[in-house]
Amino acid sequence: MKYLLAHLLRHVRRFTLPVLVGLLVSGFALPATTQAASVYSAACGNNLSCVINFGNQQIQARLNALNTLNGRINYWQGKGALTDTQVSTLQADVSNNENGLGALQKQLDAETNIQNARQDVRNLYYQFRIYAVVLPRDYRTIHADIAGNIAMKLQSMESDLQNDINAAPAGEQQQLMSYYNNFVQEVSDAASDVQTAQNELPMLTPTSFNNNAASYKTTLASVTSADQNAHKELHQAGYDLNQIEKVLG
Amino acid sequence: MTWITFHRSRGISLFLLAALALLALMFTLSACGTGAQNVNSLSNSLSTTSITQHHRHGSNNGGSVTSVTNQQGSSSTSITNAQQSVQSMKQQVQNMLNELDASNNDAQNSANQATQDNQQIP
Repeated sequence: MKYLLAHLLRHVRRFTLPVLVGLLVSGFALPATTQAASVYSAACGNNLSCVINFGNQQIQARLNALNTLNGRINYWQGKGALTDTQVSTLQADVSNNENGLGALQKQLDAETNIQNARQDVRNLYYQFRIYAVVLPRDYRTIHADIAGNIAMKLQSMESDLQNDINAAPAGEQQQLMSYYNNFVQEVSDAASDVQTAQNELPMLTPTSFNNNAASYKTTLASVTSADQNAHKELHQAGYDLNQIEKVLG
Repeated sequence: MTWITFHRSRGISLFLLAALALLALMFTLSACGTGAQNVNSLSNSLSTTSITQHHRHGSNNGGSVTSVTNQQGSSSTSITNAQQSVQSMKQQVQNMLNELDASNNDAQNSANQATQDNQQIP
């Protein structure tokens, strides 16, 4: 009997350490998302109204942000910086998202099962991507639209600018024409870059963000680069115009 | 009788001659005045033409600024007009670029808030 107990203890010692190590390793090796989910779940536990309130707060924050965006669209329309067509497109996107969020809020408020309520909150992120996709895309669209409209206005000024340069003394003509040619080139480049940005902006959607993050990032980088180039080129055209004014002055 | 008659008739003739000379002088002066008015009128007409052409240019309708100013024999008006035109354009463009900057700030601020969509499930 004594021998049997000693034999058992020896086996227990032999297996205790590996089992403990295995348990620890498996615990630390859990995916970060699972651990995070367990932490967040602990925030509300089995409290359904806690989950619903959390979701409602998140929805309201997004509705407020969309309302701010709508205010900016109206502001630019009032300034004449956006055309009515551009405003309509942007406002339609705001309305679609507001309506979608409103429907989700109704569904969330009516939930009686906490798992379903949590799924609604997941959908808030997954389906809408208001902060990650919609707002950055729409604000970038506003900038690209304004840049495109400015480029067109500058192009319409070119013939008058040329006439004004013709009135200058012959000794100033060469310098003035150099700035004028730069002005024309910068405006043309800006119009081209705006076109690139406007063509790619509609590709930035919650679906492309969810399904192919790498492709989404590449498109976003391309849009941002083209849009920022247009921004710089228009400022450079403004600089050329300032120089023309100085030489004429 | 003849001596007295002769002197009387010569006095009348001299008087008539003097009256005729005065009339001729008045007529000449009057004619000069009309001519001066015509010159003034022509000058005003030329100035009006010039101003009209400048206004056309100012409203971006083009126009032959250089040829009109050449009629007046001066090119300084044309340069002044071109300077004002470019200054006006510059101001317009500056306003537009300010709007462009403001919309760019909106876009950048929005991009910086993208992380607010990091998923949190309660």
